[in-house]
Amino acid sequence: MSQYKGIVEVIKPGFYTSVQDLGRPGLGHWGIPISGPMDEQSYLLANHLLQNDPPSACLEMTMTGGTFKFHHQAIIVLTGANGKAHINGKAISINQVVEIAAGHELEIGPFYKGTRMYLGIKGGFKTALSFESRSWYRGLTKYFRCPKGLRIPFEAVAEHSHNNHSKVGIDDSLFENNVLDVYPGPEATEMSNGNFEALFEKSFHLSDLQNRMGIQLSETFKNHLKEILTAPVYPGTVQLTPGGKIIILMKDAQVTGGYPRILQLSPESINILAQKKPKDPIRFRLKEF
Amino acid sequence: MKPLICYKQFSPQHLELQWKPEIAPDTLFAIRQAKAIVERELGSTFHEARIGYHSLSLHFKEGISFQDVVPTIDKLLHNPPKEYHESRKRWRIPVWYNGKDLQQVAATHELSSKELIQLHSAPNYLLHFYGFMPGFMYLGGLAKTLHTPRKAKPDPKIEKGSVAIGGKQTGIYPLESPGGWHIIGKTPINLFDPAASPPLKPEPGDEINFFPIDQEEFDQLSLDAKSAIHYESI
Repeated sequence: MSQYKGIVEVIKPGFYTSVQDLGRPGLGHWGIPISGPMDEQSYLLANHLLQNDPPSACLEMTMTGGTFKFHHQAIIVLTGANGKAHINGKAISINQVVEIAAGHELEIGPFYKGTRMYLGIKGGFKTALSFESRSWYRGLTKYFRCPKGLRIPFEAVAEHSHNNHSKVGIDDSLFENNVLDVYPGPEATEMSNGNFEALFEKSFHLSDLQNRMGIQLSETFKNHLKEILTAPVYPGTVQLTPGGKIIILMKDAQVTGGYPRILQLSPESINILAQKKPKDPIRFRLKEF
Repeated sequence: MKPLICYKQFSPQHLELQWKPEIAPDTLFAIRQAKAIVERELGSTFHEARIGYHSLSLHFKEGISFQDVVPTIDKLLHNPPKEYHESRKRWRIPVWYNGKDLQQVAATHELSSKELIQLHSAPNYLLHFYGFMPGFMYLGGLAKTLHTPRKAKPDPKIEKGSVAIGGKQTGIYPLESPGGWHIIGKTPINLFDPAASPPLKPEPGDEINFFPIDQEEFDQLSLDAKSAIHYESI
């Protein structure tokens, strides 16, 4: 029995939907990834608009939104990617805090801008904790992607809310920006003369090989680096395979890897990348520290 | 102790300490000692310290200055406390050697299944670190005769508890997963329990020894929910 009264029923889960909070930093020594929202900025905005604590769990939807039936009244907000969204047929906009009545359905279509949308809820979703986090991860939590029919608990709102719901304008910089700020990775110095510099001279494109663990780029980048002895990696670590494929590790990245680590993304650039689609162009820009 | 060879900062918050690139017990013990020292002296300033075969990587909470932090760490590591001592354990893990790739791996190396099992269960493997997935051990010490290139096409589903060989390494899949290693057996012991605290018992620096069991013993241990992993002090 759940101690939380509110229930959202998943009518359609969308393409890839999971529960995310701020994840599990500090458990790499057990092989446990950090996880958490792919676009942390939009996730934090959802909780900010709802006046939630930052670690309040949201639903992260990828490419396509889902349809959710609220069995109890709730206060919600959508942030991040933009797509058509309706509550019982009435359109709502992104970054708008709205009340949804018991029995009503929230229906979200495919996204026309961005790749990851967050559904925040007042009080946060209350799925089970694993290592003090509700972020879904295979082997640690019961689900790793949202199945149809799942009933997700949340803390039901006791009273009607007031009219001080905040709404902010849409900040498009996350979606318009194609430049990823990076630092030289641990193996950058082993790249041959000019090879490292070549990373900053052209655009790359996202391939369709991508998930919460990592995103592979389409281009083949010639190099002479061999595999390395398994070493630590983090979200934002850019790996170069012996075949010349570039893989950018994301939030569910494993904690160690055997490919040379040529670059490290800034945390802000991970958010930008999380909103890109397959075939979208990106460029790397070298930053100093 | 084996000397550190370099420091590499790869973001305002990430610093890696590197030793000579090799898989060696001495290197692991030097890394473990360095980890213990920086955790004790500077632990509140970083989220975590992760280890690899020849590296220790620190993820700081705030941006650091290389010029400030590196001399501090260098000084700490050059005067290690004399009392440093790790108590180590040797964990004994039962394996029913009936994996679907056992015959094929044996044939590749012109061994009988029995010889393969003897070679695999003889060493005391050194647990270097956990990586790849929660609770997956990186073990050093696989006999050269058993080094086997990974599969060209990974298996979509490898059962939890599978004992496998991949390249120069051997290990146990603590959770069901896809994987490219050759499956030679299976342990009935649950090595990773996310509900337990800690979720796993062997620590980096400990040793792992596999011992062969038959189907009957496997079934018995599988049925006994409490069947635990045993160890001796070393």
